[in-house]
Amino acid sequence: MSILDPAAVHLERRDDQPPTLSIAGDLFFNVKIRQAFPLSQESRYITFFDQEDEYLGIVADPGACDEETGRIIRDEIEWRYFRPRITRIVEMEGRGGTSLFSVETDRGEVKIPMRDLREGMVELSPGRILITDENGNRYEIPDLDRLDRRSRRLIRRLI
Amino acid sequence: MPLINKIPSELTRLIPSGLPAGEDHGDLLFACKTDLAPDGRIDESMLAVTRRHLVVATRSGGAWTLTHTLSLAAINGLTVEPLVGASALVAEVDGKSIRLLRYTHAVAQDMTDAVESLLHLIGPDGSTDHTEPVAEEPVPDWSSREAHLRTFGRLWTFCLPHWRKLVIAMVVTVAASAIDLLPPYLTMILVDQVLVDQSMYIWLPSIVALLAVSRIVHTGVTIISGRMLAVLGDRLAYDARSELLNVLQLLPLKYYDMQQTGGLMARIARDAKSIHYFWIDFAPQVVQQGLLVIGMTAVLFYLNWELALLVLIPIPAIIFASVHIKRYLMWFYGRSWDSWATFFERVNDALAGIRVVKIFAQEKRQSRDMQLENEKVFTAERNIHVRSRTVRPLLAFLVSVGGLLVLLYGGLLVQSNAMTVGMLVAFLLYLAMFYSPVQQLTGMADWIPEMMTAITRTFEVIDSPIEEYTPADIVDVPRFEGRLELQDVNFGYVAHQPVLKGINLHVEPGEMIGLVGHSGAGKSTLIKLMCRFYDVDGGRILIDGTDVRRMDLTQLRSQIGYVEQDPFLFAGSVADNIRFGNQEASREEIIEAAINANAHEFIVKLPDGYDTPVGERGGRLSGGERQRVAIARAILHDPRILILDEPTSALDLETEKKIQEALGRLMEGRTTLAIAHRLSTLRDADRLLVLKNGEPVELGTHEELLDRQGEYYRLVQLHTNVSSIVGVEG
Repeated sequence: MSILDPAAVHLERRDDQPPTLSIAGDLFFNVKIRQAFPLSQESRYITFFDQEDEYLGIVADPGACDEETGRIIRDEIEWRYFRPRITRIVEMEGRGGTSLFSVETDRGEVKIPMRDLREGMVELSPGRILITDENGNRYEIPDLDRLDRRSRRLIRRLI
Repeated sequence: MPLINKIPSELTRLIPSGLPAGEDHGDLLFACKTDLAPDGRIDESMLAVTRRHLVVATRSGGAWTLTHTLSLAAINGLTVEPLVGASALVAEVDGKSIRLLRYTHAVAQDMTDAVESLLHLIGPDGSTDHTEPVAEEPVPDWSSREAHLRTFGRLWTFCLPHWRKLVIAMVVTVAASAIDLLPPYLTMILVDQVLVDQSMYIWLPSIVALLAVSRIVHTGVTIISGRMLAVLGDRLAYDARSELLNVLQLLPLKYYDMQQTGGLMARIARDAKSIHYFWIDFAPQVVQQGLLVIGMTAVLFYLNWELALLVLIPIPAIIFASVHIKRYLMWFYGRSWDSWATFFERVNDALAGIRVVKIFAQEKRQSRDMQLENEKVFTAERNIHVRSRTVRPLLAFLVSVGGLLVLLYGGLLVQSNAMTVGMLVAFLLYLAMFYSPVQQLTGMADWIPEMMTAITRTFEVIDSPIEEYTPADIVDVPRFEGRLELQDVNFGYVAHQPVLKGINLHVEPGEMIGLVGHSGAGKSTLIKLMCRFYDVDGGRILIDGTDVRRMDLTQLRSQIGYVEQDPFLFAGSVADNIRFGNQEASREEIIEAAINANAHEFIVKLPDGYDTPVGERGGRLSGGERQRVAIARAILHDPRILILDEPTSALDLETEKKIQEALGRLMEGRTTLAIAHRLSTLRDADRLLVLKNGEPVELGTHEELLDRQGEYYRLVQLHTNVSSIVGVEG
């Protein structure tokens, strides 16, 4: 159980395989990378697990790792955490207790079915909203103020 | 010290006869009247206390007789013996128990106060203490009849910070009322001088225009006053809720022992809102309608005093009926409130314990029980609505009687040319307007009880005594060394029914003491006293030589860590829960605490890591996970004294090992009091304090106590086979 020195941590990837981690010379293959604070502090506190999902350690500031390691960390995080960012609210419909949001995201257009708005929409910090649909998929509005006026008005009705 | 009860004059003469020469009634310190005679009849008895004597008198057949006169110096002890449906006061004198008097629960509180004062006079060892006990600040009784007047007074104090806005809103309301008086008068001129004799026929468009303007101005003014009062009312409801929420955090734990969460929730959700209704719907209506009634009465008398008198005939009957209806309906509103509170409690319980319900397959029974409460709410609500819907039309009928009288008498006046048609029309218009506010005012008769009941209950909570956070003779102890001392500690949840008796213990900084005993032995109570959730009845608890009652409560508790048997987590993220006792903690510190609590690994495996919501009461985590998050929370809190209530539930070996490791790290260098269940904790403790029925029976190390083969040995035998433990140890 250790807090790792970013300088002693190196990641590399071969042939699209899960990355290999070297910690002060010890090699670990097919490592998994997770964020300790995926919602409140995405860019820091990166944890590593071996292929048996045993915990290896945590790097507080991945920015201090070498460039390749930093890039692999970003790719792995992008791969593990699927959370499209909403760029526009197209339509909101209410149908007998459920709601259907048609939205545009950075990963394409999508329809979000919602059953419980109180549970499903959480304002993580002012203007930053996490939406979890009835299937457990998650979407994020990183900054409400940066949406267009109509989208803002539609969302403001709900939070 | 004031007299607790007024002493009957006959008794005042009788008491000195039982006292030795030189002491008289003037030396009387206090007295308390009770409600049972020594033989169990419902009759009065009286406990009176002078500086040196205690006198008990009882009444039989209307006459008072002295039954006991005791010198305070001779009394070795006083106890209240709980009986069934009553209690008895017993004095110890020369090794004998003297039953002084009996009383029912109705006067139990008065007697508890009196016995407290008496014990203060007698002193702990029977030595007489003549310093007068300090009278506690009386808690306002919000349930009494005078309470409603006080409630009105309190409502004003809520309004005071916003008085300017209220005055403006009221002035605008008054303006709306004044404008209301204009149209019937204009109508009179219109009928008599424009339509009938046509002397002012060219004025028709002007008068109609004036009528239109008065309508428009009235609408505008009504909108302005309505909006102003709405904002003001919402602000007042917000203020009331804020005050309630603040007080709820500061109330002592014993308040919550007596209250159910559902009832308190009802107060926050429903009752605080009543202050809004009072200022939005009730007060402006009373002012506006009241002014209309006064204004129109004046106009009616100005137009025709004889007709005006006819209008007023039903008014006394209306007022009489309204007052009686209010008193009558008050009971039903009280019942309705109670049934809602029980309903909330029941539903709250059933939902919080849904797992238990399902595992015992009791869904149907729970549902049936909740339906029963639902039916009670239905009955209570129906009782109110049926009655109020019956009385309102009856009141309306009463007020319409005046209208018929005016029509009859006014018609006769017009027929005999003693009155113009226009004046009769204006009179009838005023009449319609006059009875509308009177009806509205009487309609408010059934608002008042509902509102007053709710508002009174809100004030009941707000005025409950809160914990004393900063004592007068405060001693500043910014950082404890951790030396604990319990000196002859006595305590009972109910006065004079001790749960802990004569606890003495000295703990050095960094020492770990295990508390052992059957359930109900007093272990948890001792822990609650350490946290100062309750104050000791006798003796003292000292930390680094200072009585905990002289410490700032926040300072004391911020240096005590508490890990409960089944830790309570709040419905935030894992990180929020770990930083609960130290909001300034950085993420690095949170992670470090979690690592030390063996929690980090399972946390980072959660999809949202430290940002994972733990659910209500931490329900989304397993028992072992909750334990470790709670340990991390305690580590980050960094207390000097640790209080630990070990979980009794069996966990898998791996989790158990991790928790033990975590606890070991947590206890390092801290004074620890632990309710121990696990053998490893018992063995690791520096000393063990064995409690039995609230009394300390053994103190020593695990080995010493096993060798002694006393209570501890028996307890260990009960849990497991003692020989195998010794074998493990060997």
